[in-house]
Amino acid sequence: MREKVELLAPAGNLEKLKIAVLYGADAVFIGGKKFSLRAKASNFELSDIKEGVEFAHKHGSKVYITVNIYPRNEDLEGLEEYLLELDKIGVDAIIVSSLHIIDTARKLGCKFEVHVSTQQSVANTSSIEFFKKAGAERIVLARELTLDQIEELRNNTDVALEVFIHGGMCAAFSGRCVLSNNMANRDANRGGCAHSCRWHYDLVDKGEKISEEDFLFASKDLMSINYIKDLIRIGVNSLKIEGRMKSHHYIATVVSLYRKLIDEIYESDYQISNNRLLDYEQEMSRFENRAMGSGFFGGDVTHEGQIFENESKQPNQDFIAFVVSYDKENRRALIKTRNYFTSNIEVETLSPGGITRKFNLGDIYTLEGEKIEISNTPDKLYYINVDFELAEHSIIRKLS
Amino acid sequence: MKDLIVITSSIDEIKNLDADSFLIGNKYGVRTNRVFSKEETLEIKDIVSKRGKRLYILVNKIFLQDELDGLFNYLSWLKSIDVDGIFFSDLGVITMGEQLGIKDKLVYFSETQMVNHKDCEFFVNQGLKGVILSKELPLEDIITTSKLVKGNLGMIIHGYLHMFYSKRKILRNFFEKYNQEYEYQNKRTLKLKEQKRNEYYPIYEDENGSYIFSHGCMSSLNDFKEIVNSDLKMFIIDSIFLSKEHVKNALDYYKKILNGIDGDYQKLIEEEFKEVDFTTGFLHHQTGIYK
Ligand code: SF4
Repeated sequence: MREKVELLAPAGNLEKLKIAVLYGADAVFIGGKKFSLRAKASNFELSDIKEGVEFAHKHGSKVYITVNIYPRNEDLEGLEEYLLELDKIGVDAIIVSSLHIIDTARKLGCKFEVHVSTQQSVANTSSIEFFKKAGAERIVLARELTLDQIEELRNNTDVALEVFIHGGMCAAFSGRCVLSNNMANRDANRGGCAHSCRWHYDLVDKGEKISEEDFLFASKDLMSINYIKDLIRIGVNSLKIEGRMKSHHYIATVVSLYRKLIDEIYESDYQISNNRLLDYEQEMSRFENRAMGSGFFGGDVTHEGQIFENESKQPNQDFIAFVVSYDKENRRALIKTRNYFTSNIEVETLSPGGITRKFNLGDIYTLEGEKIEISNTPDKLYYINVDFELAEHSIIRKLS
Repeated sequence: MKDLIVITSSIDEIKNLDADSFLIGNKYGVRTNRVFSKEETLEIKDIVSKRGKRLYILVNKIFLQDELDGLFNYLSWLKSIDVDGIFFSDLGVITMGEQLGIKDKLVYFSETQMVNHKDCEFFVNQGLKGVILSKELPLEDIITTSKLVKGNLGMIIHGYLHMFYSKRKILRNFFEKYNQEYEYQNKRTLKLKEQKRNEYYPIYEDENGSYIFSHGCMSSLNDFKEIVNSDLKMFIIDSIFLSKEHVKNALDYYKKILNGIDGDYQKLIEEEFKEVDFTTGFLHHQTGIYK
């Protein structure tokens, strides 16, 4: 029998890695401080990677490290040492674009798997064969493929295939855009993209402006609730959520939603109803404040897959706090705040395992026991009284 | 031996220009002005051979599975007519090159990913004919890399730089969004102007997707002497968006520098083509590393 599909989630720091694992990710990908597209923003020292790997393995999940820059000459130093360190720590795979890095990992005899990044835009089996020969075990496919094309690849190769299912999308073929290098002096293939595809342009023909409206060409984020069943049926090995820069709340909700959906698809033997899919979509739209599209899964991307309106920059404010610990004796939870909220509002919790419960928040108390009515500063610690046990890392959100 | 290559869409240029090699498009190549049929390619092959020049074929699409059979047949055909080189971007072409025994004809031309000597070396060691460095490299890196790699490396020396390649039909989508008729398929006259910058980026779209190019024409005339003295071997002039005159004169100037005849050619070309904005591309332009 085929192995169950893997749900792969991003994590920008150790805390988020734990959240992703607890909320149902089978594997988590993180970037270290070296050779990763988000190296500058990385919070993962080798010691953190080690702790993350230990935590994930204890919970039956895997950890993949992005080693995905196209290094310049000056970036090459220290590669072997870094790969050997990762191997020693026992990471499960590295995600790579550069052939030199793949080659080095294989020559060093590292035990981890090598996954080829979507930066390579792999879209056919000849290309897959090339990477297989170079020593890769898995290919993260180009994001430009339709379901049928993915199926065709699946039927013609035994290499593990990974597909993006959720998150931000480049307007260009991955790794094939230097707009940002050119216009903002920032190197896209070393993690510096300034998102020039989101800027506003005029369209000009022979010197004359021909567009009344601003010319925009950024892609909507990907959301694939309606395609998960088919991706599993096809035999894709891993479904990837994008977004290492995303919040605690985002990781918990998106991971837990796809976790539930995947499990329901298996449990229903692929008979999940359209109504249920609609429920999932609605649930997603509650907190996804960016415009979402379904990428290339159903065919060419039309104008509906692009962003033409100024996106509301309004972040989702529903997420108010997460649970640090629960004191059974006094039936109260210690919470850490995020967004503005007041006492006595209706809220919902989402806990690891995808369990949700609704309740009234009641009063809010400071650590000194003082009652307050409004919380408007993030990262404050407060107590609330809750009748039932709330697991650590549960999130609390407003019911609108 | 140094190899001056012109990416061209004109049989006339192939007949008359004094380049060492011509690189031409076909249905497996993208971002050229013209798709040459097999018949035309044979004719060109004939012209090129008689002139003692070389013929290179651009096969630089990212291929989908259902294109593989056609591609394989096309590559076998290229083998049978004995072209001098095949410039590719999809690494699946190496797998096929191996099956067909033509790896030594293949030149890796990914345009964005060959940015260090170790990656170049990897491809050279695959037994390829050569590797073209990415256009976003500064001169300093180009020179160092050429010294560190024992193999046939090349670079783009002149032309509008290809900055963005998408499968999305971003022009068509724009017109459809606003219910306007889309009349620009494959037309080369449109430009994008970023609203806060006084720069114009050529943009076009064909059945394979959309392409955006750099503002202005990159010229390395001022740096070519240094480039020629490095260990680089292949130099590409991309004629897309350039007038015939421009290509001819540029080629002439590069050739002169190659032959050791000094001159202020950049000044000359700027005077001759006042309507063109010349830049030095990324040659003196170190892009920031990380966010
Ligand atoms: S500018 Fe847009 S398309 Fe280009 S690399 Fe950045 S996100 Fe991708």
